[in-house]
Amino acid sequence: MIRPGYFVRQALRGMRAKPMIQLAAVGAIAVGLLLVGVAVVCALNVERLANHWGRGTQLTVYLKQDATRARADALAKLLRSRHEVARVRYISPRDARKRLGESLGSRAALLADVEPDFLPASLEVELSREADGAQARAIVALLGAARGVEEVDYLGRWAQRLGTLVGLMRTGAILVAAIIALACLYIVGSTIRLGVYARREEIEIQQLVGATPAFVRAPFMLEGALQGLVGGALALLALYVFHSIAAPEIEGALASLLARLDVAFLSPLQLCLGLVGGVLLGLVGSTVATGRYVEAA
Amino acid sequence: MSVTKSFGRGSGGEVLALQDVDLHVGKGELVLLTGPSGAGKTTLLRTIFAAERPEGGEIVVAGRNISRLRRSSIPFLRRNIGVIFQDFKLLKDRSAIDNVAITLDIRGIRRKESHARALEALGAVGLAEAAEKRVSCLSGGEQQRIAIARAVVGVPAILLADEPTGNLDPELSHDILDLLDSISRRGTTVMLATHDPMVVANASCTRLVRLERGRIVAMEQGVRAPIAPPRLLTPTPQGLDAGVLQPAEALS
Repeated sequence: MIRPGYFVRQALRGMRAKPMIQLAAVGAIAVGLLLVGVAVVCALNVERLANHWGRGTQLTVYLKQDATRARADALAKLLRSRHEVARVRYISPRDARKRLGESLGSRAALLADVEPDFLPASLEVELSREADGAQARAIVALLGAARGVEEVDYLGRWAQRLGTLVGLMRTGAILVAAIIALACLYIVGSTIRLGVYARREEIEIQQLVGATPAFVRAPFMLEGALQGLVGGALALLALYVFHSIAAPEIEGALASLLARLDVAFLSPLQLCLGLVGGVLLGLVGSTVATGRYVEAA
Repeated sequence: MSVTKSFGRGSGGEVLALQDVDLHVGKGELVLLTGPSGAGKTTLLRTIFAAERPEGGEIVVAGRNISRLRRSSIPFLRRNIGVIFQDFKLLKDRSAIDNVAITLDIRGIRRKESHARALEALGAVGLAEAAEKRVSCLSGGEQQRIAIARAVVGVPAILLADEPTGNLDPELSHDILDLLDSISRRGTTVMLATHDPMVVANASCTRLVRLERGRIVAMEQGVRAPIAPPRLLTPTPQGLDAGVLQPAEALS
């Protein structure tokens, strides 16, 4: 017969009996989850930043010397048909030369002896604000393979490199989070094992008088789940406090360098997952910790 | 039963704790296992409640071979075997009643009922008034009686007692032996291991088995004392009346 009341009483009794061990276990879970949370929030915001930088980007499509105006118009039509593209503008070789001359200012005379058509014709493409980095890269790939296109300049390829960097950072963040989670599991397991060790006599007696392994484990599992829940809640609270303090600083720094961007926090679903993660951590830690003593009898 | 059990395989050599121990114990018997330290008395008791597995032979309880029992079935076997340990194996930071009730708690019996029955068992060993006291605050003799109450509260078919008087003064030892005798007369099979000559001389039993170096070297008919209500039961006879010490008919 299952008696939840008994298990709850036993779990609470265990927690009361060794408060320092409980505190250590809750602390280990909280610190571990906080580190995982920091990694997740960082990854989340790097992703957002990358997408933000990718928006409203100008692409410059340099056409081959032999590409006709008709080919340029066909490419422009193709680009305008895509929802990620906000505007397309044809820049003739003469327009390009004029712009270069303007940019040279007082040294524009340097271009006096240069052929008026020495610069290639190009298409200036402005992506819509909704278009993210991945969509921009897709357009670049499409244009790169199109007939009559010499080269596509996508923020001087810088944004592409950023995309690669973001991919690496995302993978790194996942790896770091996984390593932290494993280390956390080990620490939590060891801490919970201390509590189990302190009550090994009780476990032995229970088994000697006929308790099943599930009966012996149940209070420890409950204890682990409670520790995980409290540890998880503390970690999320600490993460929220850190975010509240650090976010305005980071936003200020970004605003002066690049663009205005709100540093995001975890979504309600992610917060719930954090709590569930804490409970799972406690449960797995308890299972690992009790295993040795329960199986030994 | 007919068992063989050894310890310490490997580089340290092997010690045969039990060698072809062949013993048949009937329902309601009180068997006294005697012999010097290391004779195999405790090992024999431990094989009966499956704390040790014999390498050879078999142990049959109520027609069932328990020496080859699956691990998952061991808890259910133990619920039918009460054990009084030499070192009591009590939870020192818990009350006497909590220690006794643990036997019933693990069976899923409700707290109110388990505590009522535990109180009766404590009454049967003369400790009803100490029910709420912490075990650590009680004397060795009282702790031994709590261990007995815990062993019998589940109404076991078999009661195993390992040196149950080892920590008691002679007068209290006598009372404990009387109590075990009384439990046995109500149909519970009792096996009592002791190396104490005083106990051997005074205990009422149906059989006396002497072990040495893991072998039975002598077995003789015991002397059963005339029926007399044990003194320990006098303060709270309701314990017996309520059937606390009535044994189970068979293992189930």
